[in-house]
Amino acid sequence: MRPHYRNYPFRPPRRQHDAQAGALALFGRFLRVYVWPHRRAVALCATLVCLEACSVYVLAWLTQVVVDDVLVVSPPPTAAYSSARAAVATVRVAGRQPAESGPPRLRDAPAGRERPAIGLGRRIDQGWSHTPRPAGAAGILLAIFLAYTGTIAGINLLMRFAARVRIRTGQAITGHLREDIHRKIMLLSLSYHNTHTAGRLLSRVLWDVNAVQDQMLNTLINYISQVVMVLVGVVILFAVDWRLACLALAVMPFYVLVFKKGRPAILESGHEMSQSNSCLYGLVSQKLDAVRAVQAYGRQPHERLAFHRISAVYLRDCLWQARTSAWMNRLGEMLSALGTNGAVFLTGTWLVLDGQLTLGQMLFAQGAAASLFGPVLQISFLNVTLTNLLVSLRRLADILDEPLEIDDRPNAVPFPAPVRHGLSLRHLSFRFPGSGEPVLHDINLDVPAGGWLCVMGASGTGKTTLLHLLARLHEPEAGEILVDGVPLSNIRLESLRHHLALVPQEARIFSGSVRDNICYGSPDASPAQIMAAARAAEFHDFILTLKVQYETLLGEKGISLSGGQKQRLSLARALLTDPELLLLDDCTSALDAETEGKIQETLARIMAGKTAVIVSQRISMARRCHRIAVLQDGTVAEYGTPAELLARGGFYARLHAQQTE
Amino acid sequence: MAGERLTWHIVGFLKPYRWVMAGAVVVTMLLTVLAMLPPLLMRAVIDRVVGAGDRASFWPLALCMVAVPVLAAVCSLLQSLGLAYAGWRFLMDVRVGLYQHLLGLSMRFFGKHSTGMLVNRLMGDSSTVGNMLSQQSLTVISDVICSGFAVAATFAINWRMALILVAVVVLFAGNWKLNIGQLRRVGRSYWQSFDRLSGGIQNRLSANLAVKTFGAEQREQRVFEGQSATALELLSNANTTSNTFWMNTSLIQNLGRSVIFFLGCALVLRGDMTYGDVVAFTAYAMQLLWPAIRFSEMARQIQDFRVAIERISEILAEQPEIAAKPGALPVGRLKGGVRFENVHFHYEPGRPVIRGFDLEVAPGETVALIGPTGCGKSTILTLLMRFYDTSSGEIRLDGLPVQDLELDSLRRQFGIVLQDPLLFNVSIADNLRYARPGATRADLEAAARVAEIHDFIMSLPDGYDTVIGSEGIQLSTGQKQRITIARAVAADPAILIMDEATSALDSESEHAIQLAMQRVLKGRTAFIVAHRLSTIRNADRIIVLKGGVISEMGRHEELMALPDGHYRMLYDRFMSKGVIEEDPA
Repeated sequence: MRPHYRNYPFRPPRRQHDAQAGALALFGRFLRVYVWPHRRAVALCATLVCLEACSVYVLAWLTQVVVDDVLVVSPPPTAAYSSARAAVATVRVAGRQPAESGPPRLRDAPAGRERPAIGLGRRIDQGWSHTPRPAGAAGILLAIFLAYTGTIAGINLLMRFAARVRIRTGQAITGHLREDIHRKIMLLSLSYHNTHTAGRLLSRVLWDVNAVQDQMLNTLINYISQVVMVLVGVVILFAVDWRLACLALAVMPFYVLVFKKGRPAILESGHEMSQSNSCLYGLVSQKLDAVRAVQAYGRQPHERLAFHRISAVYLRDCLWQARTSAWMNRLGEMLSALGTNGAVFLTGTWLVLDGQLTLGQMLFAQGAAASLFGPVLQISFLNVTLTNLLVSLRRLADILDEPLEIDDRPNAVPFPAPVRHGLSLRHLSFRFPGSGEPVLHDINLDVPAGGWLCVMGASGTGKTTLLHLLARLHEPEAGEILVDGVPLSNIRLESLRHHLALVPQEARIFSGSVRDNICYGSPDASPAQIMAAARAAEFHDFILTLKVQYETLLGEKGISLSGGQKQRLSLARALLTDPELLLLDDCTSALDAETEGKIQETLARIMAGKTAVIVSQRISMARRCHRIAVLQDGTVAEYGTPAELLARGGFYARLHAQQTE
Repeated sequence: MAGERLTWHIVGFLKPYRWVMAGAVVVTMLLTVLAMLPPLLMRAVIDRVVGAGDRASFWPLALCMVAVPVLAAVCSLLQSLGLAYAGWRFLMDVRVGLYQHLLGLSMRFFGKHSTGMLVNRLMGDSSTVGNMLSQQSLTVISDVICSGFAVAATFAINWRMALILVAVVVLFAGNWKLNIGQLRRVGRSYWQSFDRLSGGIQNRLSANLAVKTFGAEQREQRVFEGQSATALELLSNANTTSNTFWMNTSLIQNLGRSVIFFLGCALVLRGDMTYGDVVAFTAYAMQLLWPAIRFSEMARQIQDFRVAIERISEILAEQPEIAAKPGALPVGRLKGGVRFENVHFHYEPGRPVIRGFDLEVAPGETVALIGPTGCGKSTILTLLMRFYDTSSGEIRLDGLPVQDLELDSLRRQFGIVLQDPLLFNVSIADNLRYARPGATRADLEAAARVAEIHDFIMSLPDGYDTVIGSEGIQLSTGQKQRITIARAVAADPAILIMDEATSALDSESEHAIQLAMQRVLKGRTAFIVAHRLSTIRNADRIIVLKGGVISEMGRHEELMALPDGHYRMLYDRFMSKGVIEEDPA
């Protein structure tokens, strides 16, 4: 079966990974950290599951006892056998009479009760009572029945217990792993979050963790029981009859070979399918998101075609896989049926006829052979299962091993509050990982304690990045930021974040009430403080128009806010923390002029004496600041008081002219 | 009923594959009968060959025992191949049909439904339906035939034993009935808590900046641990419940089998049955019990299937609001004369947005629309592009009513730039080319120069072939806006629509773009919506909208001359503050 490459160019190619490198170390690590603490529970589960696996043989053995010692089903003695054989010969010679009619002598030979015809209208052969049944046959049968039922009930009880243990253990492992991954994700820096989408991280925390837990535990427990089952099965087969055992084991390699042959194609098509599928998801969600642009440019036919093409690729891969797996599974089924029902059963029957084996033993051997196929297949595909597990494990390990770019130094100090001297930026440079051009280059600025610095400049010149550096959301490439002479990287992160507040350009809200959202930064603020902060951000009056005011739910299940409202909320949130250092990132851009003016006045009042760095496009804001820095191509192009810059006639003066004229 | 008809509509997608499906049904029946043979054969071997020592029957029976698996494998192969063919093709047909339908739906529809949900319906629900209609339906058929045959065979072998078998099936049903309510409840409560958990993570990740700047990582971790523990506890509950259910099932099955087997053996002792009968009977009992077990699984899948088909039907039932008129005119490039005649429009009845809008725009004219948020500036433009139809009144393009024009050719007249830049994760060149796939590289570069983005694109490692959204490439909102401007320019439209197109740009770059645009605007009609006065001052005509009607209209100087004009008031405020937008609240 060859893959179909025709439409692949319409879809990005699949990246190939070296799946095996470092696999053992990875497994070892996860087993050690997450499974080892539960080793007793896992061992208990494995033992119980092994018991269950072996109970199959016990039941089969009980059946054998019934057949051989209670019912005594066996072929007629040799004399009858040889005469029957002669009869068969005559029948054959006489012409092809149907086998059912048989030689008449056989029917009449035994002495037994005459029974009416029942069942499918066939006269029942009474069996040959050449070997008498034991005297208390019914009693023995009852005893065996009780043993059989008892085994079933006992095993069922044990398995219930084992399942409970397994569920509990799985729960503990998932919880542990999930918490570790989530903690790590929370700690990773902003640049990591910028390059890894929320959806992808989410699927790590939820789905990969689940997959790892399920597969790791199941693989561990099931493989132990399967190995035990195969070993016991082989021993039993040889104990019953070595010829039958050899026959069964001779089919096994072919059986495994069929699957080994088919498996690479299945895996390959599976990878291609998931790649095509994620392409389809990506395409569809992107185009439906931007359906306005699609419709505005009248591109529906084109989009339909694009979808159709990738769908066609997906379809072909699906069919490819379906074909391969159909061939593989049917061949496998056929082989196992031929092996057990055909080879073992028929040869066994022949041996029974020859008197070398009892019927019960033959059925026992057949049962044992039949239950070998499944586990043997599973064991031979251990590497495939582990490869699948490895994909998830590797993704998780990538997150757990991601170095924490921003972390406390060993001898970090608390934030020097209140600030006495101010901020100074020394030779600060920064570039995003993976991109060539530096965003900021050799920035030198001073903000005295209690002073306000306004940062202006064209879009894309690194204003926001500068604020993020001040909040230590990124680590500078070179140079340092000093607060009262203490380098920012030497300040305890928790203390730093406690004393500064950053109001971002794009305000985000959390699902929860308005009140929860405002007091996000200081959870134990009193209602009076919360309202004061909302008033300062000119948000209070709006909240009062809502039906349940501060308890109104926001986000997913609640109301949605406009851009301006979100900005005001986020400002209130920052003001409530009463920060030492306030960083505003163009946070009033979506507001109308009047509200903005009011907010500026309030800010000037309550932030008097506090240090602030403010990014803004508005002259009205810049005028209120003590110093203005204009950024251009990542460097400071102009720096000075508003009056100085106005006099210099640069960017600021032009902006001033445009906005006031 | 409409719902029923739509369900049939989906089933109608199966029509091209009816012969394949019919073939699969026939093969399935054959297969089921074949699957019934091995127990009979084994009985014959045990009773006749071993029990009665009839060696003559051995070879024909042996032949049958070898032939049956081979035949079954062939049939089964045919069935799988036919089903895969029909099933996957059906799925693709449904998806393509659904996607095409979705793309034609109106903006009102997309406003009401989130993309995530639509994607789930398009991809997830369709595959549930496809799977059910192709694979599961045959399982049902085969199960029904199988159990029918098994019931007949068991009653024929021994009807008293068959009654016991019926009792076991009743026990299964009882177990299912007893547990199913509980199973559903615990399942549902787990999924609810899981939704909360994933919603929480999503929220935390998207608001990551706020979490970090307020140093709330520890707090969020505790919240997460609580949610995670709850979800896991509920999952354990659900697993334990379903485990109990399955353990009950397996207990009933095993005990049933052992009772049947040993009763059979007792009957053999009494001489009422042969051991071969017991073996065959037990095998048939299993064949009857499996469908009974599968039934519980099946019931859930049928439920899922019904939900999925309902959700797909809902989308298919959604009619495109902007229906193409029969005999609509395909037009080439128009000159760009626009005429609004007494246009009224409302999104919801009783809340008019546009109330009697009259305007005539000559080809090549630049018209600026200003006014407070919610006054209908953007609405007028969406009406012009026919994203919605007017409630009353008419809009004409070069004298032709927009309803009479073919939708695609109408939309090709426009180049639009919206406030939120909608870019696709393909290369920049492909993004620019989106509106006009035939544009040459030179065209694209010229357009990028107009939008002042050419130099930036050239500074990227792969230039125009840089894929947007790939790692390491982070475009600011301003840069994205400029790319959309370039895209609209590259479309070479008759009418250019810029809806707050430069809001994220600094005044400096905006000014530069304006200068470049003046050249592009020659010979094109343009509508500009903006809240910065500097953006619109050079327009040929400025229209101040208020409450869905035109309150003032004229050139900048004319409007400034009105003593108490709204425009003048806005302008004065702008000069002191820098913006003219008013907050409606």
